[in-house]
Amino acid sequence: MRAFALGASLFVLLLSAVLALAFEPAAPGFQFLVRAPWSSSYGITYSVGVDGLSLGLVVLTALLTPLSLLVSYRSIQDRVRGFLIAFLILETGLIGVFIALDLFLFYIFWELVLVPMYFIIGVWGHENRIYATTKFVLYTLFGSLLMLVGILGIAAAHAKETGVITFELARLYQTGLTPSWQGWIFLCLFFGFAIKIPLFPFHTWLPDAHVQAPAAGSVMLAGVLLKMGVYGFLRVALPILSQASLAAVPLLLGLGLIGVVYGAFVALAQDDMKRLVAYSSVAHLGFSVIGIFSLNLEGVSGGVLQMLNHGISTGALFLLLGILYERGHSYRISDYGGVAMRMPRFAAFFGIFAFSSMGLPGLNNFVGEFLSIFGLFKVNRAASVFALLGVVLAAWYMLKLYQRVFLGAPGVLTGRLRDLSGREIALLTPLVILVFWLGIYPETALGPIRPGAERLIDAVQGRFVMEGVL
Amino acid sequence: MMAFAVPEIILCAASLTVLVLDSLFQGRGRLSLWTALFAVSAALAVFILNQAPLPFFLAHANLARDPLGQVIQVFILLAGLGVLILLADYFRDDPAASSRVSALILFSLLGMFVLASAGDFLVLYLGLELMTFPIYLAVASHAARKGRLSYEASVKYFVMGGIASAFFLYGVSLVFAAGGTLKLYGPWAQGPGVLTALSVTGLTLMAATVFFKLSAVPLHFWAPDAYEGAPTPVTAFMATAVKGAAFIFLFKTLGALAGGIPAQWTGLIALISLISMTWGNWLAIRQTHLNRLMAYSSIAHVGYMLIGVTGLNAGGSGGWSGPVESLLFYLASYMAMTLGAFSVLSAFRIETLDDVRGLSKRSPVAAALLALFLLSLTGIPPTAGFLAKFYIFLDAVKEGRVGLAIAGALNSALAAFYYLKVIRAAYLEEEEGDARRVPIPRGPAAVMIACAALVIFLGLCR
Repeated sequence: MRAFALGASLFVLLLSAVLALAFEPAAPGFQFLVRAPWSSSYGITYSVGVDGLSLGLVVLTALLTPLSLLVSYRSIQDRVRGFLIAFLILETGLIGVFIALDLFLFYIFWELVLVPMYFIIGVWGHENRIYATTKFVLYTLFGSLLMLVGILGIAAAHAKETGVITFELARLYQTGLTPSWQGWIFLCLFFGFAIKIPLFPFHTWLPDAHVQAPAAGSVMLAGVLLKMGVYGFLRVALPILSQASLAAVPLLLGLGLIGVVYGAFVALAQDDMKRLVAYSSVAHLGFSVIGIFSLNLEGVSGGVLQMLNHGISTGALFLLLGILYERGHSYRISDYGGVAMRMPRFAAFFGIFAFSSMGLPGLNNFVGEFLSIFGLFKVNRAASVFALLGVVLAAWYMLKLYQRVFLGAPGVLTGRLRDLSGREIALLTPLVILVFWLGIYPETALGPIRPGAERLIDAVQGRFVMEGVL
Repeated sequence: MMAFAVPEIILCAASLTVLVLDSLFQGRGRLSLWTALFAVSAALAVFILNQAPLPFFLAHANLARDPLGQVIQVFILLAGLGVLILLADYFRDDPAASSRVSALILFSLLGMFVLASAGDFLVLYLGLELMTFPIYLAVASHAARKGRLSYEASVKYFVMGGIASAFFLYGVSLVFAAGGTLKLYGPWAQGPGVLTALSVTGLTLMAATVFFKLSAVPLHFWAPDAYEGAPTPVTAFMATAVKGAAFIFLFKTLGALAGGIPAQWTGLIALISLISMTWGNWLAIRQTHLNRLMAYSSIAHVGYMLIGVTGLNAGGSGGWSGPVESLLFYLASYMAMTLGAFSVLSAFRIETLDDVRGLSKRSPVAAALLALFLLSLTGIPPTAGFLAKFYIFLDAVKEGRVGLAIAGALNSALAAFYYLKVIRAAYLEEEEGDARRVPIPRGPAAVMIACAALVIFLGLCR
């Protein structure tokens, strides 16, 4: 059964690799399109396809799923079938969100992700899981239901202007919406996406959800689910609601910045390793938001790349934490110490991903963060200095974590630890390779992203120019 | 002409037959069940097949066919079928009670048909009373298990229902005074211009009764107690078929009288919709008794449906235009998911949240289906409940009532609180003692699966 699920997810990974190889970065528009009419009276179609912005996310999801399944081979022993079912449905929903080119379909996949996540955290999580998963579902459901009304508003506004009701993104991109409607629609969409990212101050569901989730759940949550929010802004809000988005740029840049610094400071204070990494996710995705909303080529490509990099490095960190938990059954930093002596290979892997998360040049996160901050620098210099503070703080809490857990005197639990098994090394290796690859030669990822970013910026700025100055 | 009334005749004959069978063959619940099921199926078949173009008016009888009502009648019969199956299983230890309550359900279905075919106010009133009196009795039929609670629920419902009916009669008399005729589709069908102060007062009184039957806030107070005190299949009947009939009642009363929803009333209905959604969802959060929780849930769903009602206008096919299809779709999916949820509750004799605990271990299939129905009630894709809300909200946004759509969306999030509580109890919480697998009784299983198929199928169509 596990083998079957693993095999299926590896097959999906293979398909996504083929997709990535066959993708033509320079070609405009969406590729690998599938379009089938679904409901003509409402203009709903089954349209899916990828472009530069979503390709990386699809590959990321396909990569992280088998790795998560591998890490739960030992730790999930109860109701395994249900776990595998939930996990595969989760993967379906996640990939669906990233490839949907019809807003109705987008919403269906968006919500579809909630149900398996609820069960994954609620059934296979840790002590306080019921509270955490309930908070997670209700908070994000609140946002996504508002997003639904926003989507309905887009369709209705479009219908009012052109007389044709449609949910297809391609059509909605062509005709803009009147600015008067854009205001409230953007607000509704904002809540849905901001809660998912999570953008400060809507982030309070994240730490508990992460801490209480099983390792595999945390990996998917941090690695992929959080990207849905940023992707939503990229795919839906920015191109269609350009004026409102432009008006909201200061707000989003501000919240992103606050998230970067706030997340870092709170991470510094944590004793729980998972919570620390959770808050670091808030910080890293703050960089993503900053990059994207600076609305220049460097910023947007940096922000999108940052999403992928964060998925890789934070996903890896949660994998490692899951491995550690399997042995020590605790996430508390104070329980550990001098782990490097007992688990040298583990310490090495953790070190690589910790430095990656910090943004060390030569490793993947550096490229994304650098480009994002550069993008912000072109818009507002003072703000970019503030963002750099976040980078420094990231180094601080990561190094502090590493020092307290791996170096120094042995802690309470250090005695019973054993080093990585072959399976665990196997599942970490692809991520290590990616960390170095994208750090040294990021063009592999940036190549497809750049045209997509250019088109996005054209869509936002161009429409603004066309419909007159505010 | 009598062919017109064949379904009603079948239902009437069946209920009398079941009563006779009950007294003759004491304890032969199975025979009554099959008779009742056969009768309802026959009525359904005849009703559907009898769709040869009927005149909108049958002037020589105080009856009229109303295309919108006819569709809902089909839903009602299907719901009635499900409820009868659930009844037979719920009262398997007391077949006499099963036959009695089945007969009451059949009478009530007959009343709904009379209500739906009404061409003038008195027939409408007759149908209304014939529909609700058996329900008063059916609510009380749980005394063996719930004792005084059941009687109390029944008496509360009876007294409040009686007052509501009295309001209706007085309203009818005022309308008669204003218009000189009792016919529904008489002089008023031409347009709302003929409304005078007298007829408006009458209309208001009648509307009060309508909203009472719908259990819309602020006339909902009977619902939680009645739902809690009744046996679960009867509660299912109240939540599905009676709600459907109440909507027929709504369309007939308001529509026939004023040729559509009067423009001045749109704001009032929107307000009632808003407070029904909010009040219903808000109060459901604290409930631990599942029948009561479902009562508040049904109040909230009436609120969502009233969002669609605010957009209805006169004209078009079936006498209405506007979001008619969305409303029918919502009603159909609401009935399917509510009946499905109740079938799980009835099959396992679940009354409170404690009874649900650990259901996933006792019966994984039933727990999964319950989760499906509850997720559909919340409005999570890809279920029918989501699509129904989608259509209603879309129609509201298209017509500019964005505030209502946002309120509906926020209320759905609020509703997730209590629906998740039940799912949580079923899956995430453990019950004390060992959890052995319990098979699902066959009858309710069939109902569950049929409802689940509907919920999934409706969620994918259109």
